[in-house]
Amino acid sequence: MINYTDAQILKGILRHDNLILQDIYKQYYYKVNYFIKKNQGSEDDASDIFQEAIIVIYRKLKENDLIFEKSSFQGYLFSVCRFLWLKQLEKRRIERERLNDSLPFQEDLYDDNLVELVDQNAKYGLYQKHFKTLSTDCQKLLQLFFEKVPLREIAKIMGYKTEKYAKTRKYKCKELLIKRIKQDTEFKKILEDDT
Amino acid sequence: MTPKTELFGRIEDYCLELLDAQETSTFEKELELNEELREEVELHKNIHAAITELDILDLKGKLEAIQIENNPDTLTNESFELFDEFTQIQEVTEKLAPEELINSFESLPKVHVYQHEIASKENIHHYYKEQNVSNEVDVMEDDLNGFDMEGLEGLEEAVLETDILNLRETLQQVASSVEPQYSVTDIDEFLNGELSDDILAEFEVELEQNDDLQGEVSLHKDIELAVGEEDVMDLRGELRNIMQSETSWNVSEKSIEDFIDGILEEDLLAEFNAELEENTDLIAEVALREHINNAIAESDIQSLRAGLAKARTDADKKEVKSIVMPHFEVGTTRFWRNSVAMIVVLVGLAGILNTGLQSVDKSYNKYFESPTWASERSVTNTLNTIQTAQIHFQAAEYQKTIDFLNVTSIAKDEAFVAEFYKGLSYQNLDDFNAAILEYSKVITHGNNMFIEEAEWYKSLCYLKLNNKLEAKQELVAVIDRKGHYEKDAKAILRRLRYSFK
Repeated sequence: MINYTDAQILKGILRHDNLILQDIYKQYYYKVNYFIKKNQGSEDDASDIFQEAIIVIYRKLKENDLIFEKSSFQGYLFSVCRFLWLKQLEKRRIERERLNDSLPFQEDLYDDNLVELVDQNAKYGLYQKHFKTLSTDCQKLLQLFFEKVPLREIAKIMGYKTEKYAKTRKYKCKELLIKRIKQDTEFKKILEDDT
Repeated sequence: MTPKTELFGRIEDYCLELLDAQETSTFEKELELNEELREEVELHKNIHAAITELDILDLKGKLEAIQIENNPDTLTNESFELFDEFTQIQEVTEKLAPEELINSFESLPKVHVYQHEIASKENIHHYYKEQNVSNEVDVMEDDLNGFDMEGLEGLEEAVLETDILNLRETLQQVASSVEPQYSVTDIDEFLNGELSDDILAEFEVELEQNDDLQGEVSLHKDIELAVGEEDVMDLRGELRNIMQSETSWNVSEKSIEDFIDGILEEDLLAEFNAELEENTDLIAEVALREHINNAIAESDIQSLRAGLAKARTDADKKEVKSIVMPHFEVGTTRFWRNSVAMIVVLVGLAGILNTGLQSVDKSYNKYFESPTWASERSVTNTLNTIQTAQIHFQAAEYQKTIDFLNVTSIAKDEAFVAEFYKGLSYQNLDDFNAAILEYSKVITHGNNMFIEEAEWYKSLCYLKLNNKLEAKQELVAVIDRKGHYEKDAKAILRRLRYSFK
């Protein structure tokens, strides 16, 4: 089994390298799973938290905001997982004082930037979840539109006869997306947290 | 009616024996327990008795008549001459303030005065006020204007403003039911700079003052950013695939086998034990393999099972098509031995071992169940294309179904129905490549009710073609939909995981 360096792992995450991602999963997932199960979570909770922690790290990498000075990839990953789980416990109104800390973590990583990023990730994750429930043509249409592709071009790509139809269809898709987001109880919780 | 007047009414009814048996019994029970009530009832009875002493009243009347006859100039209300000087006594003649009256004792007058006080402050329409004008009322109002509602000023007026209360309720209902002033289209046009100048100015003024609109605009912006994050969505998808299809332990298969055989090297053993302590998946894997080894050791049971299996095969002429084609590499004897062992054991003993793993011999036939074509009602008497194809399909005339659908033109919005059933027909005819093509069209169409089924049957086609990678991808897509086939897809994925490694 290859032992990747932290730099290789980070590059791998940036490239979505399947081998690196598999390696991360095999090396660290069971520890996160153990920690979450010890702290009133389930297998599903563990896999959600693990996945979102990698996404948070990816977002940090994209922003060039991830330098390991005192920490390592492992330490950072565990700290983010722990932080995400603490937030979940808070949402579920479960006391966090009695936390069974089996993961090594660094409190000093929990700065405003991380809090903000985690909140944004939760919000965007929710929007993306509902976006993925739209029909494939709705997804494609909205993506093209947000990529600022001209309507004429969009109509051509999507096989619509007129630009006007493309525009109307886009509104309908977006309306449906917004409706689904607003109906999600998680969205209401996010709104409450924001206020 | 206020609770107090209601109570006095009930006391009165009780005294006059107007309550029914049940009410009387309830009242009497209360009377036993409630001293205050007992006193009130007593008072009522006394008043009642005083009023009903007709003989005394009669006598009193006669005496008054005699007095008038003897001294016609003196007309007083007082009885006997004992009251003559009462007018001179200040305490008796002075008017009592209502609050003094209320505080003095508990009785009917108190409630009576209190009710007048309330009535005096009611909003009465002028029409009714005019009709009720009388000196008596004026006097009463003058008397009660001084009534002190300390700390409750304005309360009664507020409570009695039912029109305002109703209006407020209606406004709340209207606010919750009315659609937002700006639609998705308006907000989109605003964000894209497509609003005309006058509407834009109006929108911006509203945006500045309206928190809800600000929230809507912000939501639209966030959605745009979130949807643009294709890379994040892809990464999330990849991670999900890895988690669903990969094992979560960080030790090699060789290490697991060596651990079970007790020959794992010391330095690896410490590492292995450390992981085994926390990794529940690894614990389960080790347990499974140990069970398999134990089961293999039962050679007598195995031969019996083999005999039973042969007998069953002989009895059942139906061909069993395995979806799993084990891939052995000559040279890796340990793996070969274990794989064969796993297959043998899992075929026969999965239930007994209770490992949760199903038999590898679950056949394609088990999962591939050609669905019936849901019948549709026609609004016309003539059969349309789809209905004709349906008749062929239901009669298991798959080639006819395909031929018919190939030569007949089908409306674009119904094309996916034809494609799906063509796919099924091909699959029933074991033409899996053709079936995959048809299912792909249904999936690409994107907005129809057959997508999940198309993905499911497509995955089965790939399994039949032994294209494991594509099959896995389709199965993961089926699992993601969390629909009807999720459980079966997971079962096959699990089996693939244990069979092909």
